[in-house]
Amino acid sequence: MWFFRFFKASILTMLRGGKWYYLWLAFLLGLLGVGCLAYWHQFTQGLIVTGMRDPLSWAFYIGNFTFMDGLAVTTVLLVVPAYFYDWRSLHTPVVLGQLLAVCCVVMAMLFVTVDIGRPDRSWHLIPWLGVLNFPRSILAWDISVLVSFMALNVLLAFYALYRAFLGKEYNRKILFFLIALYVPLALGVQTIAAFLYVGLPGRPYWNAAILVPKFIASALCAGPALLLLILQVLQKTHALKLEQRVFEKIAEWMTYAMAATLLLFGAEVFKEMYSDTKHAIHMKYLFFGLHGKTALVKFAWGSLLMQVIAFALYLSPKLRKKTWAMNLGALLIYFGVYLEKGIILVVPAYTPSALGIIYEYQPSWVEWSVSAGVFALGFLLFTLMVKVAIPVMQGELQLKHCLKVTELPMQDPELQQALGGQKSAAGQDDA
Amino acid sequence: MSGLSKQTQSVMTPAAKAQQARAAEGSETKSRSPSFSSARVSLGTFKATPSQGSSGGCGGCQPSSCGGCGGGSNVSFDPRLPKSNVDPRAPLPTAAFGGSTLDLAPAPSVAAVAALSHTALEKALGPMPSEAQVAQMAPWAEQGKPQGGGCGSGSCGCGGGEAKEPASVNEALESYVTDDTYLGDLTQWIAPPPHAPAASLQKLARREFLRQLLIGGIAGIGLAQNIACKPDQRAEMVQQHYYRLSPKDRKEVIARLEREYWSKYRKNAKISMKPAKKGVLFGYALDLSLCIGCRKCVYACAEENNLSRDPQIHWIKVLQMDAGHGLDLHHGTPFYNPEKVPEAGKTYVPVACQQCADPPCTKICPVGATWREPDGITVIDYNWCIGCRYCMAACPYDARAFNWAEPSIPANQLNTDMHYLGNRPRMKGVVDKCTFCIQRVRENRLPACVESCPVGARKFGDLNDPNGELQYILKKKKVLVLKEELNTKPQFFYYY
Repeated sequence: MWFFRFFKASILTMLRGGKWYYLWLAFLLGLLGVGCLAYWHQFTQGLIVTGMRDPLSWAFYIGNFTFMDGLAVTTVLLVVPAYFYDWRSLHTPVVLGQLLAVCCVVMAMLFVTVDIGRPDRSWHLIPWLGVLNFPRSILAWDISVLVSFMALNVLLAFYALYRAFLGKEYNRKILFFLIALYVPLALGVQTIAAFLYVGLPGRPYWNAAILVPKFIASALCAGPALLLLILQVLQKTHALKLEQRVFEKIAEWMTYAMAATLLLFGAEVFKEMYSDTKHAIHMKYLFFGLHGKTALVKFAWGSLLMQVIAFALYLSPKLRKKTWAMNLGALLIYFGVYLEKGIILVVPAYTPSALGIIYEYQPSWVEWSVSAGVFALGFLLFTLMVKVAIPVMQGELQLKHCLKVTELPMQDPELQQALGGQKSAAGQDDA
Repeated sequence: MSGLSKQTQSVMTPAAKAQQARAAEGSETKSRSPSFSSARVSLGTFKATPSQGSSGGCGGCQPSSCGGCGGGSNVSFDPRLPKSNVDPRAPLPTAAFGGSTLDLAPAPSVAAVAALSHTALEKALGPMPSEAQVAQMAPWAEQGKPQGGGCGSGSCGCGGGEAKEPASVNEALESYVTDDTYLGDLTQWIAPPPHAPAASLQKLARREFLRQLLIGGIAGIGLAQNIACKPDQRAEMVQQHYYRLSPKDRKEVIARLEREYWSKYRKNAKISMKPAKKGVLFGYALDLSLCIGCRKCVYACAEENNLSRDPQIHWIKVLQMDAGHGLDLHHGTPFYNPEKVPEAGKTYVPVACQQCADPPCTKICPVGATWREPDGITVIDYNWCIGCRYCMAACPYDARAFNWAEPSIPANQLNTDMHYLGNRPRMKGVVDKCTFCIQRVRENRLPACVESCPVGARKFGDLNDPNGELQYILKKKKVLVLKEELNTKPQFFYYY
């Protein structure tokens, strides 16, 4: 009914902003342009312009894809208290988290797209039109789960925003039903992302069941960390109003997730190093290098150090309530997990390769640029959506602000009630 | 060793089954034996020369160029790799080889086989069993003798048998779909059901039409950007999965590819889509004690299978192992470059696709672009592969190679004898792999690597043939497979 108004108001809001807003958009567009140019180079020349080769056929792109998969499930921590226990202050962060999830899934899919050799044949994945090897291929599962998860996020975020735009309460029954789907699906996204790797018996570094809980735990560290940082930025830039308690609660949940991550990591290291089978060679390469090849050693120890410091900062409730400690910890854990998923998860599994070939991988400039472009696109989407979402959720951008007097809906008593006594103020078009 | 016997058993079982099946069919397999038996010939003749080989003639050949692994030539994996070694066409010493290795001689004639003496055989196969057993395992000795219909095992080489080859693609497809011994894992749900009633076939046709319409729509969007797109390119963009191509589609695809190769290489290519023969299960055996690491197989494979020369791709990787470490792959490297092979203190393990009976690489393909054929060969539809390289992550043997750049083959080196699922030139951005030279073995010829091996270390044949050489090796030799614990059930056996 009022969809059109909603979209019109959204677009107008997206286009209006201050100097810094435009500068930020220009920066992201520039980065996106660089990414597109680099991708064109890769598309015409082939993946030879990346650092990947036959002994190491997946690397930075797939690592980023896995990381994005993880970020996408961030909101799963927040939805239950927000809706089941009706904690109102969490509603805005949840909607922002869902928008972030949409962007992350888009980025994850783009990272796969830029990684494949024949993106022009992507239609082969569409069931019936092409062949989706479901249920045998875990990649087919992953695509299905990601698409449904993204759809659910879009649906939930749009529903919440649209109701807020109309000034109406959300329907608890509908929302409960969607949330009941949301939690298992979010965990499913992470589980299946881990199964992608776990299901390969030829790569002992991945072929370990511990990868599944590790994926979930580390995702619940990095995602909320990013959300924490973004919310603070939005407080400054978009006049987002949030209780301090929201931050404290998120930080507390993160502490549990960090503890789990470190515990699982320790368990994995113990199993590999203590039993010291041939399979431990990948972890040895990661932490100590092999035959003088030590490209990953700094990342491995760096990531571990970052995660440990972040955990130490968050361990004391007093300390993590301080803004500097909270932000430093969030930054450290975010980049710690980024290194872990982006490089440390993928590369050592191929080093040495299945036949024992040691090929040292370095991302090429094309990979860096294309990845930056994908990140820029994700952030661009998020920036634009957040520009609308915050005023709508805070009741600053509503239907009543967009209507002329003559358009006021007389037939909808509920809406009339929502508009309340403010009919007189509704003369101006748009917010 | 218990694992080994398990392996042997797993191969034996289908063999026994096929034997029963063949007792009923009779003539089907007649034509196979003569050519496969030539494996023994090459083995016999070449076996006489290993000492020459290692003393600098052919065996010492090729201070070899860059070993396995098809990375780009511009990025060397290893400092030990000299830049100049990218050319796979470095001249090969031919002294002991009676000509050039590149000249892939046809399998020796029946007469040559018959002339083969038992002494040569003995040399080739080691200690010989009794006379009767020799006769059993060397069916060519019976060549020309009239055979009774019952013919014992039913699969011996009754010389005159004509290969019952499908006359047309149409017939081939029919025989394929109705093949109930089919082992493949894909067609059951890609191809229409074998005995679909008329009504559902009509429905299928309608569906097919709708699908074509949709694909056409997609192609239209793609083409809107490039109006100048040629019809052939358009056809390539919307080409369906191999098992969804009707016989008519197949003809068109072949014609299109032949046009494409003509315009690219000025060569008349002959592309076959010959399906697997019923009851055949290809297997491979490699004698580790004979291999001298000369890499003749590597380059013969590149020639035969139109592998990209730059960037260099190799399907066979010969690993040089430190002696005393057995098959521990962490003590091996494909990058070795001595003046002469074999070197003291080194052993050699050539690795290519192990053609697993339970391949980890096919089940994970998100688009079903790779599958195991009924004759046990795992193939790829290069026109359906999206290049995600998940199969490369799944392969425990590094057997798959990716075309990181547009593959380049000098036009004068193009092998025009092609199979659609095998050695036709690939395009940029797809995965390829060893197919046991599907274009050869389905025409009853031997793989190029078997023919090129100067020491006769490589054996190829039908695992379902109870009197075949493969079964002999499985029964008599100490056989092992790589990474047995992964339960991939390779059909590529190493023995010593």
